Amino acid sequence: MAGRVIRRSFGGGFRFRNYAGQPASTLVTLSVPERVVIPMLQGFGVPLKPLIEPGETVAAGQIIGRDDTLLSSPVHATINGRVSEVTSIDHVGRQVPAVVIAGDGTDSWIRLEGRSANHRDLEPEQIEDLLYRSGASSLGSEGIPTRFHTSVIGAADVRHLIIHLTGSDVFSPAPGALFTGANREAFAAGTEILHRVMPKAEVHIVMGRSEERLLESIGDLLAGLPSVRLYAVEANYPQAAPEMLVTTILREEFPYGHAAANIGVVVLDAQAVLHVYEAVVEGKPVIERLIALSGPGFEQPGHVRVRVGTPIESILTGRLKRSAEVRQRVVLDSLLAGAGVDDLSLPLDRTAVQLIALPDDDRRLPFAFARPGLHNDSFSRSFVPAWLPVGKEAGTNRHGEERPCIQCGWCARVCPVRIIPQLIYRHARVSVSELLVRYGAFNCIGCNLCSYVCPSKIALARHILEAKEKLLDVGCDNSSCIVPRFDLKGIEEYKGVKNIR
Amino acid sequence: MRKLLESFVAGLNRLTAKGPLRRLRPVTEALDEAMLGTDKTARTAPFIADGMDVKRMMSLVILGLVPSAIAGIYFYGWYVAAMIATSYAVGGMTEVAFAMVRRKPIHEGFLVTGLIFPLILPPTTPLWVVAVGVFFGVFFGKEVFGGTGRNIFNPALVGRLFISLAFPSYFATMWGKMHWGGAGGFVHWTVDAITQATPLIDFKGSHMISTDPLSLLIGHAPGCVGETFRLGIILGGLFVVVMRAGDWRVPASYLGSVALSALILHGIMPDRVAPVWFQLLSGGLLFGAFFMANDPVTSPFTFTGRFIYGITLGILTVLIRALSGLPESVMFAILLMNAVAPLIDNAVINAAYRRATTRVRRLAA
Repeated sequence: MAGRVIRRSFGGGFRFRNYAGQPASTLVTLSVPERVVIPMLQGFGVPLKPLIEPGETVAAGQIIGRDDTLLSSPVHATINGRVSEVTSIDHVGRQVPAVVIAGDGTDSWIRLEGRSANHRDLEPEQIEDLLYRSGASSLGSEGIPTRFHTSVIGAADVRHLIIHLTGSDVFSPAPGALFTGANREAFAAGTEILHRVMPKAEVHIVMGRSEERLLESIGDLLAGLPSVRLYAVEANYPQAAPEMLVTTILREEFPYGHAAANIGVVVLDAQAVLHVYEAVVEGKPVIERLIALSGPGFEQPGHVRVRVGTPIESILTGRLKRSAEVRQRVVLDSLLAGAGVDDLSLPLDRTAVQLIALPDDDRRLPFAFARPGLHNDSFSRSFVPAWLPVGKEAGTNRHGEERPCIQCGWCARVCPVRIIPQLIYRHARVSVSELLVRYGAFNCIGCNLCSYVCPSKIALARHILEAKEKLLDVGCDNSSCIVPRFDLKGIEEYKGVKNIR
Repeated sequence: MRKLLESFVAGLNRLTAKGPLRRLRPVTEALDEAMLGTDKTARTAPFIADGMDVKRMMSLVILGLVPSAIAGIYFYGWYVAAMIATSYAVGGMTEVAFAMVRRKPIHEGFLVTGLIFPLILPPTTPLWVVAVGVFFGVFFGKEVFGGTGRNIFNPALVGRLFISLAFPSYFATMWGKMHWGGAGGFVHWTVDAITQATPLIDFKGSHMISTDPLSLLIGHAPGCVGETFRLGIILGGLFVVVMRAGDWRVPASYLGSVALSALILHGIMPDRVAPVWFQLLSGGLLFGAFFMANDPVTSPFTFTGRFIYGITLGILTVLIRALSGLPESVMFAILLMNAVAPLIDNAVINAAYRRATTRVRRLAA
């Protein structure tokens, strides 16, 4: 399949281009932190009980949480040291047990047993065992299926494996930082390993259109795998959402409201594949993560390699711009759909992709509505960057006051799933009824683009989310409409893990 | 400069913070927001926001109207400026009064309504009629429905309809003789004579076309204040569409549909139905298509609905012009279609849902 790159795109969406503060391809490995906080829920699964007590000595790579009966993957200590505390932290929007480890500063770690420099020597069962024990099986939108109950479906149910590096967000990790040295070979080997675990799956590798050469070279390395297909996609947000990958790459309908795994699709990002390689070939558990430091708030946007569980503040120290005028806002993973980091002592877990810092810009701009807007991004073409190649600046300023909806239709024009956000919003204000299902409330994938473009500054996506919750409260979901269409697997289990009623 | 502005706004705010002027709070708040910009920031995702807001959107539409307004003054004298000022003053006061009663912020929509309204009146309309019309339009066309975003009919057209019914003489005979050449109306207060009929009235009476395409384009034919300089309307309208402050679907399908139905009907009834170029370039069609039919609040919001709306508007416009006793029909066509816009949306959404569910049933079977 080498050399055949298929081009794809989808209707709707929004291209965030030319933002100042994109991370450079530099990569710095940070020294081992003095202290880490290990959340007992990382990646796909349910929270685990810590297997260690305060005061115990632990080593980097040692499993400190594992339960083969639960839908989960093991959690590791990521530094050598002593457990100082077992506590509970606010993590991914819920309270999760966490283990605090005070480190001794050494950077060694325990290799997994049973690894092999040549993965072809290993049986699929041995690979699954390594993936599980390394924690790599918790990566991806719904985990990598193994014999160990790590995903809602079994490895034999996987029809498609999608590996993506689309760069469609406002800020995205630079592919150049990920694919340094022998990482292309490692990525190719990791893909092969995954294919051995999921032999029925067709493999789809998806990258941004600017990375076609990288894609071709990876295709050359994977020439031995006949089921691999290569795709170059527009950097159109939210291309990286599983819903959009399934619809644009596989050209299949998505069971909105459910997960890709439910239709037998596993979605992984490129870094997850490298973790798979490291686990199987090097015997390295997922104790380190490559994090992009992006956005105008950083002195030098770039990439760092950090231990999982490192508190965010210790990564930021000395790297954030200092300004007397304005505070920096720190956001995890995505400016559009990520979470704001209010407590900087919280840790990064093994799924973190990037930290974004941008000015929390409450400075008032006189006559903002009448200015040419040298660095403003907009769906409209009324700002300078729409016509000239000037860099755009990200900031948290809302650029306007909230106003009643005037039905301008921008939300519908950018909506990637082709619903009419303002219609659901206006209807939900009046009543919560089954009409909302008809209007496609459950199709919303929460990409937040409608809230981004709204000139009336209405938080449309949040209102839709609330409407969905109210609908579920009254026992109304779209299962009657979509379930017959699909052969869905593991729905109840998925809902259990994601806490969906 | 900035300091001055800030202290001015702070002074205004102090004035209405308490005491007898407390009621004027919405006014000072609106000035505060407009002059200084917002200090609100995103607390939850998305952490960035589009640079566009309603103020800028309305400003873009007003920019698109500027050529028509300036041409109106050039053709009909500074009296037109007085009409615009009257319309803004009375329309603004109505909006402010409602904001005060409702204790809600002042919305920017009246800035567009207040400018459009005088542009669709004959150039000799007395100022008190302008005032009554804009009050009626804003009050009964918008505020009684619940204000911005909730009105069914275009407020400016509601005002114009009221005037054309209450004071029909201004629309029947009072078309001014326009200034032409040199400094034009820039050195006149108002028109000198009230004699000429519009090309559409001529055609209705004699089935003869009294003008040529170029005159219509540059505005050398009588008509309402802002509808005659059609080159400026086209440029301003394209500006609004390119800036995405207005949707392209409504004007494109409206004008396309007028052209197509005129082409067909002119072939059948050449006496009653004017040829395509005359239909497109006469009367208020271009102004209506770009600035009135395209009002997002009163037109359908579904994209298919916008095409249906535009196409129906075109057919209605040509039919009313040809078959009714009225020379011009754009206003009636738009008001009529405003009334059915929600129906169109409903039908489009229901049809899409039916298609989806039939597919599900087929797949499930």
